[in-house]
Amino acid sequence: MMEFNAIGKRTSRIDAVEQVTGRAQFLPDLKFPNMLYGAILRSTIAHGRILNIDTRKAERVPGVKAIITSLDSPTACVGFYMGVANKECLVSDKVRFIGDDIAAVAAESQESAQEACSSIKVDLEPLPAVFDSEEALKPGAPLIHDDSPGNIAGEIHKEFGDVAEGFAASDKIFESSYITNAAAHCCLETRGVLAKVDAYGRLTIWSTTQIPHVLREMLSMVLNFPVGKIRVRIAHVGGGFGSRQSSDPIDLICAMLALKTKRPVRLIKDRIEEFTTDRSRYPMIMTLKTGMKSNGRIMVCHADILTDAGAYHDQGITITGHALSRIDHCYRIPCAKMDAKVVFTNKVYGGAFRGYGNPQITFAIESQMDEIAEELGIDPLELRIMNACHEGDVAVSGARITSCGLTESLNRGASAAGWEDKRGRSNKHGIGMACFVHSGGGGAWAHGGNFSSAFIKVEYDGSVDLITGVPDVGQGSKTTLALIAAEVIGIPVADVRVHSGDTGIAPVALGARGSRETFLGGNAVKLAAEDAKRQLQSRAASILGVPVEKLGSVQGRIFVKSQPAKFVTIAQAASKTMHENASAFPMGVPVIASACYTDPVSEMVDLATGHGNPCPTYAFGTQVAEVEVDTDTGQVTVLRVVAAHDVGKAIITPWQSKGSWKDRFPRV
Amino acid sequence: MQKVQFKVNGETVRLTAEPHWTLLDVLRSELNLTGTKRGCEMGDCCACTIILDGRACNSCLVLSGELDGSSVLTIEGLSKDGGLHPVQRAFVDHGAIQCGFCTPGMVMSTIALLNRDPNPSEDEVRLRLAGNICRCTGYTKIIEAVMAASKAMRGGDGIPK
Repeated sequence: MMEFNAIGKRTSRIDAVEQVTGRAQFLPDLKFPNMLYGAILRSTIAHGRILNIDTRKAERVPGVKAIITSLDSPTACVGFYMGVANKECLVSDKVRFIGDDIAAVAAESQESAQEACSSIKVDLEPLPAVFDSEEALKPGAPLIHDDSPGNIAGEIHKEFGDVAEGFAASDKIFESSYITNAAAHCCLETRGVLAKVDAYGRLTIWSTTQIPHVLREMLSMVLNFPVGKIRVRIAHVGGGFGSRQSSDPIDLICAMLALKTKRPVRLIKDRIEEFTTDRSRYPMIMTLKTGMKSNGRIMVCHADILTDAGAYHDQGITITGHALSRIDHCYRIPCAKMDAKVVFTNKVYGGAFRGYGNPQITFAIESQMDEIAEELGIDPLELRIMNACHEGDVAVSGARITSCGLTESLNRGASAAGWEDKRGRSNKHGIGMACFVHSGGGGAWAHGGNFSSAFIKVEYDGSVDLITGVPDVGQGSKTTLALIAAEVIGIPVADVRVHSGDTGIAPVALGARGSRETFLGGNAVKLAAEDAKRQLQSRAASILGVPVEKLGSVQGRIFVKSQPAKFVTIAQAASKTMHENASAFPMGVPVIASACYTDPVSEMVDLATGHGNPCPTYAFGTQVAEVEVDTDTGQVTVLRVVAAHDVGKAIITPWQSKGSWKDRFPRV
Repeated sequence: MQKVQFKVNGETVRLTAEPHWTLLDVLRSELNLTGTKRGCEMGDCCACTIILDGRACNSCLVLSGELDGSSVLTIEGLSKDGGLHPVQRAFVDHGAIQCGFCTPGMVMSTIALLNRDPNPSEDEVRLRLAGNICRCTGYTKIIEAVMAASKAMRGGDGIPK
């Protein structure tokens, strides 16, 4: 086992003192001179045609500086996938859900902005609305988008292996449907944005985003504004959970207000707006038809999903696709068929939410595993162990399982929970389990690659500035990346300053999403830090008069390994001053390093067949829950949950990893 | 507009306020004390908790007119000499922070709780902090931090080993 000096050592988060003293500035804490306050007028009906918008009364509200409607707004639509985006920032012809964006105001105070909003007169002709995904598919259902006949937002059809043969070879076929609901992320900080235009017409956006570079791309495409004239930054961000990697027109509306008024504009959703208008988890109706051998072997699975997209596109198709891809990753399945329809309804539209479709499909798969176990008379633990994936497996869809602790997590989870003793003990007392597989390290399928970059600047006092495209939205990536830089360069973590979430200084990065921050961002930081360390050691080698290979770097010193007392400080190596009086003129040639890391494993999935290895790694786990049922009221009390997760090696911040599962199981 | 005079973090404040302004508005907009967070404005999340005359209180539910003669302690008033309050120290040491948006309110509720009951049981802590919503941590480390702070304030060190 390697010895480490920074990683793996218990460290407080590097931003903990800011947070605990209230000095950490979140978006609503940012204020600029001359700043205006924005508000959005939203639809009060679920589906309706806009006949007229009269802003005359609103314009007379004292303090109002700008009112914009679709007439002032670009025709381009916004969505996470710009190729299919169909959400106008401010709607022109129809409203499609309660909360749809109709007009926006910038005013000298929040109160004026709100008063002006409520003074805008909108004539709406109500249209029949549809709120149920199955109803939306029926002939004669209200049509929500003229260019989406049958309200179909998208379809997925994939088949791997000989599915007909799989069913023919099965002894018993199980078919059931499972339904999940929409859910709100409920970030403690609501979504907000602050837009500012400089003297050269360049736009700076502070946003509560998980994806600064992707947001910059959206702004550029929708506003038809060069990327080089847009800078997207984050302040401290009060949680994301996927909502802030989903699109919302608020960033674009705020930018339009700032461009129109030439003044800074801040626009923040209040809690009711957040609940009623922000992206939600996609509700799914999932039908699983699974063919089994009577000995418990899975022969085939046909999954069919109906996803309720809500009123507009965001990530309904990819999230449904990600859910489907769980089908053959957790258990060994020789053949699988995957079908899905994503449909529009007149409800708030969905977006990314922790797990990206995985909680939905895992609920279905694991519920059916229990039904199968009961019907076949096999212990649910044994059924899962019998079918579990193993290291070295290649799923029928092409995913390469290079490490897999699923069987171990099943055995250890069951043993810690007392599975054998407690199972079937009493009819009021139950114990159950579920497994999961999740993709890790992001993936190549959503962008042109799977990568991250880092810049490192070593100051002449031996401290380091680390610039990364990975935004810290509360998950703690600044601390993780600082630990990696400190470990490699050989300095205390307190000497690393992390600058993150700013497209003005960081190279293109894919954002805080898809469990990619530590894997991609961390490897980029490691590469850049190794370069900085090489440069520092080569300077130290010439000062000390020994070859580089004989040097080590630790705790701010570069020392001769055979004679640790012989050393120079990192500061001495970093300060390559040419002046004789180094203490009076310490500034010299700086040490700077940069690196880009590209994930070498994942591959672009074949678009025609859906075959490929989309992610660099897959994580597995088992949770066992013990519950008690009050047979008078039906109330279920969770007595205990055991979580046994295969986390790979939690070597950077093991204490954080330990906490996060203990904490998260009730709140995915 | 009405004139109000009250104390914030030990200093006397005199200002004119609209009667519908809340204490949260006054702190954040008039006094630039943005450490107190606006989470829901309905008294549901307790992100805006401050200590008003010794009791934990949702600043979004207090109107400016009620403030005359009162004394308010906010997160900014805890560490004047640069050192951290034992509760703040415990939150840092126990990793009781993730995104940090609930943290100031959580710290203020904890201080009010420990001031009234220096030696609460874990169940009492869970009950008394139930109103403070944290979306990230799942509370386990927050409870650990509160128990450690309680111990530290009573003389033990409470630092995790």
